Amino acid sequence: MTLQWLVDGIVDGTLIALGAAGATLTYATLRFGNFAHGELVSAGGYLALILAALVGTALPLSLTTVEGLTATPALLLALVIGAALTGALAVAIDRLVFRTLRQRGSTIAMSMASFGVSMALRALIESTFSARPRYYSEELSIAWNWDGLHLAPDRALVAVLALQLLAVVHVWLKRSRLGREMRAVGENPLLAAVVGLDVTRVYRVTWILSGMLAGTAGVGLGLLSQVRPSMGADLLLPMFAAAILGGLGSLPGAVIGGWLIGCAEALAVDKLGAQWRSGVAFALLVLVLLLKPNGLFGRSGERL
Amino acid sequence: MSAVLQVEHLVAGYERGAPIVRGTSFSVAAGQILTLIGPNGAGKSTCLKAVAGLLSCESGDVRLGGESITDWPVHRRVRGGLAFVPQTDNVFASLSLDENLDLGAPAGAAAPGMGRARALLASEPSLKGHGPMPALGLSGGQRQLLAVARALVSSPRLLLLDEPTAGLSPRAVSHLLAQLRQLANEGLSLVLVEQNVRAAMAVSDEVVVLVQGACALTGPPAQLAADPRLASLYLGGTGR
Repeated sequence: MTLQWLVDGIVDGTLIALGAAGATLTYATLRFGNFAHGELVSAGGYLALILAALVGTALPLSLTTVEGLTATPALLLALVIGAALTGALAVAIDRLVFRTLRQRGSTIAMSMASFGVSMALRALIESTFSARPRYYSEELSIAWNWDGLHLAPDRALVAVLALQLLAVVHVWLKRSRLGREMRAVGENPLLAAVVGLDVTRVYRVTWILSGMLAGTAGVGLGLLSQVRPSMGADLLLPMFAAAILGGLGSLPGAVIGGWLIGCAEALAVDKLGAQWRSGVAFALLVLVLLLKPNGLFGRSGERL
Repeated sequence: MSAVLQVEHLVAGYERGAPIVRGTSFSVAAGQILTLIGPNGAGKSTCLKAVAGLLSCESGDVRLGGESITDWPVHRRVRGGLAFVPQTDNVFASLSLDENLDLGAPAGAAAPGMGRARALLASEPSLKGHGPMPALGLSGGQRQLLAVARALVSSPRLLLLDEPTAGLSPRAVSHLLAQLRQLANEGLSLVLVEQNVRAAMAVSDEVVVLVQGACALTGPPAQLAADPRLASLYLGGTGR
């Protein structure tokens, strides 16, 4: 019995988890579901596309030591800058749209507005770059083969980098003062202000972090498949499913949720056919929520 | 004695044009406990929230140590030496006791009042060993003590407490009020809003009776206790 579905599920699930981490962070601190998170993923993918072209001209190097790897040093540098710019974009969207709605205390209005932001951003991306898929590299990432199990070097690189990034963010949020401030603001923003925390600053940092994680997921997604305007929107439902499955507000939960969704999708494609991909993943989500309404790692009153 | 807090002709409420506090004035000296009492709906908690910066003032002035803080946001007032303990939801339940205390200190700065905060928590033996545990499991009295302790971490000049004894057992009430009196004796100024009038008056230096958002009576507790207008105010009079 081949375990290819498991390998594919873990890699795709890690990418889903990276997106889910940003969404769950926004939810835990700002208490609303940001449905424009998918477009932040797309924005990161396109920003890196532009930056990689610019940096690649100035820095024409390649990672030739790893056979079959198509990711270049220029793309890795573009990833870092693109993720930072996506964080800045998230802050700008908050300033333009969400801040006023937040001050009026309307989280449902914020969620609805995020649909509008999502559509506007997607239209902007499509009108700027067209709907034609783009690629970071024209080369193929030739897969390694272990007894019939295949893994492309690009996929391995994306999974390893994503897991390292998630681990660093998790430890930082758990141990740092800012992480405690984010948990405090998420639980009770009024009390946080009373205690003397600068709640506006905490919101800003949350948007930056969430945007950077989304931007990184966008580059990973673009490297493994294509850069196209709907890439983030297609990832939105798996991202939210992973965040809810793992327990909203929990980063380790987002990773486990991402893996479960990724593996369920890969197994469904392998055993039942591609048309079952989303259906099986969501059946798993419903089953877990029936048994554990707060998700696998979510406990009432505990966040992040 | 110079006033730590001066509230002058304060007008405030939840909606502009519909004030609940209507021209209230009082002042608190260093090491003094002032208690706001009055019938339900008199504007006691609203007044405290306006002083803390949670509600904007329509008119009037709030001065801390002689400096006007009327237009300051909440976090700036906290840095300026004001601390507020709300009546409910006054601890972060998902954070541990230690994390709650740490948040009381200004970011990137020393916690000058941590020793005093720890000493206050040590006065309650049942809190021993609770440091790393979530505040979710604490009793009402333990939470109230933690909320006061966290407020002390930043070493404030003025501590505002909204109904600190509400819902506490008689033992917890007397323990908390004794600790608050001790803090005042050490130089901290306190403003309490209390429904538990008898217990609060026993530890207060000054009492202000609010009726319909305005000061109806002011004076030391012993003087007010003997004033027949106090009972009349609680039964619906205006004190005039």
